[in-house]
Amino acid sequence: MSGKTVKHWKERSAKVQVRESDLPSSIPPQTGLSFNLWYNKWSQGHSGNARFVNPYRLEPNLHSGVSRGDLEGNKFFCLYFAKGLCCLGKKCTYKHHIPEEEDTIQLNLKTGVLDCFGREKFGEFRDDMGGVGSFRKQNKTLYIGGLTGSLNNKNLSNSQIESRLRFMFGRLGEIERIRYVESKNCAFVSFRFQCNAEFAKEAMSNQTLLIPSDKEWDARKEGTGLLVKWANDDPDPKAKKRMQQESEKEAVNVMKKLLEKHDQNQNQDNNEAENNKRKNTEEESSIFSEGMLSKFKKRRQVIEKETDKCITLNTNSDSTTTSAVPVKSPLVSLQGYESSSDEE
Amino acid sequence: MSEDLFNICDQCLGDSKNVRMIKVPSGLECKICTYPFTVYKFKTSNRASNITKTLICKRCSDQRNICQCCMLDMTWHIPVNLRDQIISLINNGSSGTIVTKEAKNDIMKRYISLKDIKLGGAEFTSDPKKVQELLDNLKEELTTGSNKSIIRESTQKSTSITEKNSKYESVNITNLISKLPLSNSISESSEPTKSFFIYNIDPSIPEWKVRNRISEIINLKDWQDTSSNSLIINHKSRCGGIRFKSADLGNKFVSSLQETGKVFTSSECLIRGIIDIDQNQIFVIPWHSGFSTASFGDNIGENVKLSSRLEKFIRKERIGKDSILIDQQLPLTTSKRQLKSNKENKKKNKKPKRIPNLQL
Repeated sequence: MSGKTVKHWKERSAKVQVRESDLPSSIPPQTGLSFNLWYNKWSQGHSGNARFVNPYRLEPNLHSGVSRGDLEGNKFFCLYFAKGLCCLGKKCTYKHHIPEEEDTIQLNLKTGVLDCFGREKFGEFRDDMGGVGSFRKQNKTLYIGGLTGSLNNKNLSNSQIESRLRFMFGRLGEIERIRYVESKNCAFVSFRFQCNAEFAKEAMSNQTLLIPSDKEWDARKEGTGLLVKWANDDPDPKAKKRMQQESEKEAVNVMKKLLEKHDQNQNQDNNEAENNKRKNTEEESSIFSEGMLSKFKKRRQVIEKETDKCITLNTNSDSTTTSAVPVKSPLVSLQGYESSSDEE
Repeated sequence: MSEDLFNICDQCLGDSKNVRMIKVPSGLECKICTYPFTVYKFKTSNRASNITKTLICKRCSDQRNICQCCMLDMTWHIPVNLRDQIISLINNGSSGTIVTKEAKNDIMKRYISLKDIKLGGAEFTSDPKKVQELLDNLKEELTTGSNKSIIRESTQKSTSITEKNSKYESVNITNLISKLPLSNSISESSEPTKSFFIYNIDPSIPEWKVRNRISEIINLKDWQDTSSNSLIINHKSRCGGIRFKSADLGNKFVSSLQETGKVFTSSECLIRGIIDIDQNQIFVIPWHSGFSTASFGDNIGENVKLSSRLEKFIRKERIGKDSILIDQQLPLTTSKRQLKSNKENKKKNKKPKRIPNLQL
């Protein structure tokens, strides 16, 4: 891995990380009397320790590549890929690589409530700061705990632990800073983009920090794995100030972009308004005759009867239709009518 | 029948002319107010793999002027927090900071959602007239540069002085210092190396900026040694190390620094490279012996001590090099002068004594 030059992920197809036949059973080891199919859990009995070590690990250099998701334009990443156990490889309909800048931009444009795997976020963080996270706050920092468990109680110096963390997390996206707190035996990792933090959170939870050259490597599954959670705000006043400055900088950048966009729109609007004026002077009445409009109405009603729960909606309908009205520019709706009239 | 309508932005609806939707009355719990609401599910095109659905109720989306699917602002298509921040920056002080307050407990959430009000910045962005007004204001401020926020952008860099941390005064770091290549000098004639020591790193500089800047300097993205940590920055000790894939790349790095004149000679006639990022300068020394994470201190005490020692070292090194520093600070003083003149114009300058201090 070290000496060879590895091809960029765009130049190869994604690898199958685990063969389907090698995947372990999805039923967890028996800890109770009866198995609850709905929650995929054993009930009645001592629930036992839920923590475990993930036997698979994502190797970004080896595993990432082009999958079907890239070709279809899917914007979300494969959760199984992040955990190192996707058995579909290039056939997977989700993306199989480490999130990069352009992916982030696409995701941010698309939605504010879904994380990079397409899961819904919540209003508040969970009490234990685990899980998908909150849509109210941009959080790019992860808390890393459970370090002794993930090292199977192996004694390492502070800098060795930091170095291992740096190596593991550095592969999963552009790092902003890493800080290992010796007195609390935990670490904080900030990424440049939030979606890298989301990705790294899934990729690194329940992983071991041992490396094959350690003598504990064979017994790694007996450990407990890393605890990766969202971090709270840094209480250090300097860090707070820095965060504030950063967000202000971002806000100013966005302001400039907004202004540009607005100017463009205004120009367009002006042009459109002129066009509309011209049109109005040419033909003062509506574009369609009354007969045509009633025809459309009838057609809509028939469709609505056919599908009881399904409503088809023209993305834009004016006063003639009765159903929901999203706001869209009038031009689009005209095109819609024209195409439907062609069919008849 | 307001529940029959929905607030979905154009981006979520997609480009297709006809969108087929499924309506589920009381299908989900609103993520903001916890009331049940009418859910609409749709695909942007027939072949799209993901179903988009509304996640919050129409009332909540109206109050915040956000899309029910993506929860971004309907007019500007940005997150709520960012929108509020921008509006309060533009309005600067005239109406205080604008925040969309969110309730913590369920009763309050429901109570707020039933009110017929606009929350936070929604008041502005839901009204095209006010949006126009805001943007006009913004334009004016950007062109004249009279606004505080814009000036703050240029004066952001603050050369913070290491705190007097007497707690760590007694920490012994001679062992660490002796391993640092402080007596080396950067030049093409010296034997090639792939490791470099970097210092004078402001804590506000993130690692990725350094990484990208180095890629820019040597004009190659793939310079990192993937088998180990190729870039370590210890923000507490304000120094770090770079490791290139090969000594050739290290050589290339040195020569491109020298070609662009990004070097300086210290008071002891040692040559240092300079990587500049924004308004900060990071100094570079070749490091023949290589480094590990432990080279920058093993605990917080060592880190802080190392940073203060390096700062003293830099000050000593920069004696007689103040010309560069002055150059560096020139834009700052001008902007502060600008600020001063602004203040004088307003005739609200209550603390004239502070201005000479600023200019220092």
